[in-house]
Amino acid sequence: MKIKPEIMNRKEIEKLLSLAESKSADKTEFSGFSEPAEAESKFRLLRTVRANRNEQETGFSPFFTEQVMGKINVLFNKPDIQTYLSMQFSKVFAFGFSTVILILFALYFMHGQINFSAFTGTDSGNEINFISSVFYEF
Amino acid sequence: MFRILVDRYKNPVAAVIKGMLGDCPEAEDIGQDTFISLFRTLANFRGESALKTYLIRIAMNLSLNELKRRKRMLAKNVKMDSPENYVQLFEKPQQENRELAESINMALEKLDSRQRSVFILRIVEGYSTKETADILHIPLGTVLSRLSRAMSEMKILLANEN
Repeated sequence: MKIKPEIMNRKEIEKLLSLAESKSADKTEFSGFSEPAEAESKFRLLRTVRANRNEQETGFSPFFTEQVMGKINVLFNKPDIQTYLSMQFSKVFAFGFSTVILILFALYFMHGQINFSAFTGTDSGNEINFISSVFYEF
Repeated sequence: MFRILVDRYKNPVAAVIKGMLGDCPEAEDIGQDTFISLFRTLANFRGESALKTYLIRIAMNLSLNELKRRKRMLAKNVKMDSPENYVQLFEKPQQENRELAESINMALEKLDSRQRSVFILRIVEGYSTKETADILHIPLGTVLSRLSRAMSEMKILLANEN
């Protein structure tokens, strides 16, 4: 059988809370309440809960602050303009450098069939080169 | 600067979250989310309430969301790591108080989440009635009526435990 809870009115609740929080509450009289016995048992409940809570320490792990700051850095701290430009420059430099390396490899493996002077038309050999062929067209 | 805020308020935040959810693995994550959320919204903080009240409100809302999520998970019969055992208000109780602490934990666990939030803030953590109302965004009268119900329920639940 379910017991119906005794609900105190708001004024009595406020009074009970202030009694429970006062230091001299142990000698409190509950005769001012409509149901003194009920008020006293609730008063004891409040004091017990609070006393138990005061005996215990609640907290997070010792690394909590570091973890929070680490997450915030990852989520919100965008690089400043100098860092951004330097990152972009590094990307462009890396791309350009790898392109030059690839061209040099291509020149080496084609045994001189393609070389810089042949491409620009400054080749002194007899073979027709790219630039000369363009001129011959006209 | 923000590190000082985290250091200053992490214990009250932990107390509220662990009071609501118990000493579970999610409590630490929700604590971190609370401060990240504060960092995200700090620019919008208008100073209408104390920073601590604002922070505890975030912690309480995230805890209530987590309780709702657990309820949904349980409704779907998804096995979790005994979520009902998570709600432990008192960490590592002393031997002599263990039984009482466990009884209170079990009674608290059975309270409705709205009553539990009022009870944790007002009775366990000792916030004033006005602060509790501000944190939960409810009128003062509602705090008192929920508190009255919560105390009555707790009394009956503890009597049944014994």
